Amino acid sequence: MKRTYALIMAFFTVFALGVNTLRAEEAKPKVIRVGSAYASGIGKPFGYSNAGVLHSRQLLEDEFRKDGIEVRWSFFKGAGPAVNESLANKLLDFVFIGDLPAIVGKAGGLKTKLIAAGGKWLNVYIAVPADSRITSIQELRGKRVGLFKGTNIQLTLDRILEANGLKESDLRIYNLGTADLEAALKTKNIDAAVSGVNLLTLQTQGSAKVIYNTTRAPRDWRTTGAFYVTEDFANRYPNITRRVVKEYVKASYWASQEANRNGYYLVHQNAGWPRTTLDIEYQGRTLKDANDVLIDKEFVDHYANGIIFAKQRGLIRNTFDVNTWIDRSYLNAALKELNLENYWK
Amino acid sequence: MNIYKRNVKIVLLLLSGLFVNNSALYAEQQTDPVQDSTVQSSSGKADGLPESSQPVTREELDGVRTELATLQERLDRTYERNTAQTQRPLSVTGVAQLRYTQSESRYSATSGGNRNDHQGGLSLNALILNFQGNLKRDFEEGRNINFLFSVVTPGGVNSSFGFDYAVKPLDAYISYYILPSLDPEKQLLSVVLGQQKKPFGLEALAAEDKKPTILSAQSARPNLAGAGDASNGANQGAFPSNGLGLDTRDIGVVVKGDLFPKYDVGYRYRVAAVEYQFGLLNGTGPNTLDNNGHKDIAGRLVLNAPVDYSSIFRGLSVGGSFYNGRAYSAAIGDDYDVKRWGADISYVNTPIGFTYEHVHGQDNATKKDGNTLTIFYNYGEQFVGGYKAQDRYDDWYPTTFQPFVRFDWWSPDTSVANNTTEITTIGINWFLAQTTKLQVNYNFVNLGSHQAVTYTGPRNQFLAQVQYSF
Repeated sequence: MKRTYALIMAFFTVFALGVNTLRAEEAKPKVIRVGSAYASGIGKPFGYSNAGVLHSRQLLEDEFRKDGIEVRWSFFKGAGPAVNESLANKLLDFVFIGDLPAIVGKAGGLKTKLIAAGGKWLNVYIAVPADSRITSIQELRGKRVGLFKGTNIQLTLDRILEANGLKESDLRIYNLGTADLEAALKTKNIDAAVSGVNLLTLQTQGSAKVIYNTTRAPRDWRTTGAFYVTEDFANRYPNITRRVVKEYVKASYWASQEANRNGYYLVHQNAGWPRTTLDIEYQGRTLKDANDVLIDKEFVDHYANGIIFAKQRGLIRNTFDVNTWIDRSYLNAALKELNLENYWK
Repeated sequence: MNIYKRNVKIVLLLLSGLFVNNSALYAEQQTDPVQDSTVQSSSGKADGLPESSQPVTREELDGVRTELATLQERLDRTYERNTAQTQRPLSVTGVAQLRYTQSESRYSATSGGNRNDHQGGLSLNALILNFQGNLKRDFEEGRNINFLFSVVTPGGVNSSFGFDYAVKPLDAYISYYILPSLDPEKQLLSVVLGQQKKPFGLEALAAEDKKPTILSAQSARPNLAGAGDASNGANQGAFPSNGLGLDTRDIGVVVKGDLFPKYDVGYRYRVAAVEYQFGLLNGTGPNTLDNNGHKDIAGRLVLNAPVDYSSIFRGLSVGGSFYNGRAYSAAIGDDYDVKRWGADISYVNTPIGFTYEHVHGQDNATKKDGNTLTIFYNYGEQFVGGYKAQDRYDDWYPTTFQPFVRFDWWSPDTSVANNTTEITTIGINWFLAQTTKLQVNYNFVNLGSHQAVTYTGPRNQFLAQVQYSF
């Protein structure tokens, strides 16, 4: 048996050495792993908003090619919760994710830093089957409503319901992923669906009717996203982090130019958003407003309110100070370097 | 007559004039709304605009419509001619195991305990074909009726037990969700009727990708001495297969569910504090008629750590199982007691984990004991569900390596001294594609002195297996 255990020890020693070799500290990472809480669902790896532009214009790849650093993008079909899961397993360095899943992840112990805003104030829509007689929020009481729980849509729905004297328990909420939610609405297995611009696409196709959107609601009701880095990566590679944020700001600046509206729309069309949907979603909005990267008071208040809201609804158990989460140093450095300090103000 | 001809010409002229005017009016009425939709006739192309801003013409739109109609027709024809159809939603999956075995043989009884032979070779260990689907789908509450029917050719690797490539039913059951199953925050309750796994044990009930070793724990292996059919989907070969038969199927009804579920919305992670399943079974194994008037009962209760996904205690579980039945023995000419109980603890987190299981069995007066400890580590993202589901152009899947070590003790008769077989396995699993894994195991076998005398089968053993599925 001694020989047996000697062989076992040798087996695991080899693996332990292998792990230590892999984890040895280096001046630069071999790979930068970026995740986006959005997948087109049609097998095309394209993101949306600021991160979508950063990806499609290959800015990070161009920046780090000379250093021999690979940039690895991941687009998650499981949206925010899948990003959180990957963060918890230390599989990502930077992520672009919506407000609620980021709040829940942080409250649950994920060690991230909020380093730039993005994808600001996108609308939430409530749609019913095309021939439905439902026309108002009040009529949703007791009805079957599809919702992708855990995404930032849930936060907005709760605010809409509260303003109409309702709460989630007044509805029969079905927790459905985006694809299932759309299918259920088309087949009328749910009475209504709450989601993003994908419901506009269903309306364009004639299979749904939008009865509510947040266009006229307080801006704070809409969803927003942000760009994050893990504390571990930022601490180990502060200079690389600064360069990543600089490219993110560059992408956002390009996306903010009205002259690039067609190109900006094309990024989203590649991600599965039809042109008609984009025309409606961005109607009356400047791209500069939509791609604003500043972590300003309105943005911070939105997250602070989101934390309180999530706590009240039992979505998180522990609250935290949003200001301890935010690190503006990388963003401010990038804005100064690119001479864009006043561009989005 | 001339006057008549002239009047006819005047009437025709007036009618032509009216026809032309009406056509123009009609055309004008039709084009107005179209123009509002930025579609113009070809003569209406807006001059001076860049190409990307030119409105699409009626002819171009008609062209696109024609292409769409052609594509639709082609799709319909392809679907009708080339797609197999069923009455209900169905998925067909399959698993195949190709195995290489190299065993050291020591014929202690016949050749003085000298190592004098090696045996092994390639074999087709098992082929499984699964048909599963839905008989009734309840969109509102998820009280679905599902089915699974699978067949297996158990194969084999050891001539002592023979090769068996006859096709036999493996699983054949329908299940019904008694309680709604759509809301992850609610408890589940379902009933399963048919040929299925028995509700006993940790290893025996684990999904295939959660089993690190090629061979099952000794205690879970079939009891070939007992009655029934050993078609359990994976012939264990090489070592005495007089286990407790925990891996084998049986026919009956099993109620399973959970209590106090916790749902971490930020990770879409669900864990129930209590999981249970209880069954009433024939007790004679798969594909066999019951041979006595007694029904066996079995059950399993698991307590899970009701924690968030990010908790270090995620994946910590403690379980207990029991089995109480009677089996007919032709030798005795009567039924005898079949009893089992087991206890287990497991910690299956990412990337590390361990499982420990103790089982005790009694067949008539013979008492049996087994202990199995497995420790593993994962390099890769195979078991991070959200990470696997990504949009990618290529056929990407997270390559994962899983080295492990297992210590497996088994005594087929505790009344006999020095009767324990100890098998220590080191190995590695390489998940190299979405449904393919390569497994390499080396078994160090240490037989008790009693078994060393009575058993002359192979000892230490090298196994390599490719398991692929579709």
